[in-house]
Amino acid sequence: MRFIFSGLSKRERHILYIVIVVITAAFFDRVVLRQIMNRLNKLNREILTYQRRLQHFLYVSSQEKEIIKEHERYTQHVKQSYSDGEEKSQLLSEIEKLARKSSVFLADIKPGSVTKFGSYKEYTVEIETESEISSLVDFIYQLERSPRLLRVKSFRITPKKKDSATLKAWMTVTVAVVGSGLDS
Amino acid sequence: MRFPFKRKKKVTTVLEINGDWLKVVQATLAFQGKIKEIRKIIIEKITSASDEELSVRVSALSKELGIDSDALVISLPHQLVAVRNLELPSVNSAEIKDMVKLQVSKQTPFTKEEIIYDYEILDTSAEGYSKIMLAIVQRDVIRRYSKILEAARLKTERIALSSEGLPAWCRFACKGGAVDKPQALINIDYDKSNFTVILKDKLIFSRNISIGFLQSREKKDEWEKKFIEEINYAIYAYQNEMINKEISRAIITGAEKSIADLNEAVLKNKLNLPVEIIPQLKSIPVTKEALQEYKANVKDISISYMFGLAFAYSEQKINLVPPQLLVEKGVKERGRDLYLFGMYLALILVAATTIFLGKIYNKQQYLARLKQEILKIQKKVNRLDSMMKETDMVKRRILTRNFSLNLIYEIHRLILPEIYLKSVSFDGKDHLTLRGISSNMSAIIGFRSALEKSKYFEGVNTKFATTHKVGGKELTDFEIVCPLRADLRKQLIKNK
Repeated sequence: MRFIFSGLSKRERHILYIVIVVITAAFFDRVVLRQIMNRLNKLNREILTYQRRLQHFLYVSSQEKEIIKEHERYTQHVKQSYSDGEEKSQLLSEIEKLARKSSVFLADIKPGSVTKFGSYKEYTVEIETESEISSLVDFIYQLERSPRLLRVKSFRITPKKKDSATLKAWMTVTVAVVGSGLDS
Repeated sequence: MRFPFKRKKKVTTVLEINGDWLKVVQATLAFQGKIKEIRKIIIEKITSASDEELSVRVSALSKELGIDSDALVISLPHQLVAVRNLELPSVNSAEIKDMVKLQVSKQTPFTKEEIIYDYEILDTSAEGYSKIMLAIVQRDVIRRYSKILEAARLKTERIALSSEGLPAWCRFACKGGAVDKPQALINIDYDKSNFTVILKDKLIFSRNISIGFLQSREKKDEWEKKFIEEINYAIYAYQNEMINKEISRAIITGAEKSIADLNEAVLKNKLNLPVEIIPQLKSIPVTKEALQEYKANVKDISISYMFGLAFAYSEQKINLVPPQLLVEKGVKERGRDLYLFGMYLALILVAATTIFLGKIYNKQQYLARLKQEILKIQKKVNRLDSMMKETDMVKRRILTRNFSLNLIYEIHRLILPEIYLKSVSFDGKDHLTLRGISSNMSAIIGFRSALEKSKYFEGVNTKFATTHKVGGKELTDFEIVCPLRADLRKQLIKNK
């Protein structure tokens, strides 16, 4: 150290001091300051996220009554009251009933899959019918206006024979149910 | 690199080993080097010839007085220093330095290695000349002082020429301030005296007088005669060197017993100059304790120049400390400065880090509180969220009510009488496919165009249209694919 300093001019010593300061500052920046700033930035981002989440939670919480009321109003007819098997039977019997009511001949009816979407389920039924166009349209209409919100998801309609007024239709009918115990 | 935090030097000590006498004067300096008072005067006769014993005594004094090495000045008796006045043909300080280097060996019989020297530029002329006062001392003298101090665990950064303290003393005692005309200042010590000339508060000439108080004890009349003779020689020598700078008056001070016997009128007559005899303690700020010490011990010696050196601690120009010691000191100071600098830097960094870490800690605490609050209501909100999703699902199903029926109605509305449909199918996702037959190709094209314009479809295309003859009649089989409009597709996907 002594040798180094005694061999340097005043200008060189000043440069050396500046270099030491710069290196120390850079080292401090790399090793300490940047780490701390990164940590602070990460904390700030986390805080912002959690603040927003809390705000949202508080808002949702404050709307509790309205949410429950609306939920009750919309889901009163689509609540699951039975087991999956019973629910399917209910669905089949309702479709059969509506087909009879619309004078549609139900050639085939097959329960399909049960798909779960979060807190609700969708039951599928494949049906094959034979009827005139007016009856078919009425049948679809009856299905769609059902309080249980039955939907004709897809369909294929063809004439039974060439130039025949009777139509054959293959349809996929779905129904959604919500209710307690679905998540479990 | 200097730091403003450096320790203030508050007590300066002037130490002199002058023949048989050990003299110590300590002064307290107030803030920024302003003079306060003389706090200690120690004058002792050196009884032993051994430097080791002297070191022991100096060491004891150092402990007793709390001597600070950083504020210690060694006063080098004038008789040990050869003082020369030179005129050099330059006003450039670097050139003067080189010239002095060349001149110095001519001024003494010793080699350069055997001496230590320093100089002060007294005056520069318009003609490009500089007058300097050169002080030369044998290296052995300094080595002896260094050894004594080293043994006493003291160090010094200043070895001053004793005469240099006289202008500062005069500033107090003479009460006249800086005078524009040269004044002779004769300081009578124990066995030697010193003739100096000061101008504008600066020492410009110094010469030794070989008699002091000691010689006056035997034959007083002869002593006075010899004393005046020596002064006249000194004045003559001064006038030879400093032409056109006549001495305006003479001031005599020093050993109290000596000056008490002197007669101003006689001296004025003999020297042909106004003469004033001033006691060395006149107008000097001094503590009671120091005054008692002075009265008890200082009768036959002079310490006036030591007062000056103590007070003018920062004004000293000539320093006879060996150059290598100064270099070493400089290196040590730089090392210490660097160390302090490092410490301050580290302190700043630690403080900054602490502040940031404190911030991090506070934010972590805040985040933990946020998480806790969220956790409290999370279960309830999850339940409500689930309810909202269910409600949304039902709303979407209501929104797409009769969608299939509407598609059938749209086909019924748009179909032309010339077209017979064999199959209508909807995949439940994104497109409706129509298969049919017609005897009229333009009807197929018309039907396709009508589908294209429908609010349900976009990008309708004919997958195939094949014409064949049946019973001599041309019939065209076709398949038209009708993709749903994007918004409807989205609705259906959402509904899923």
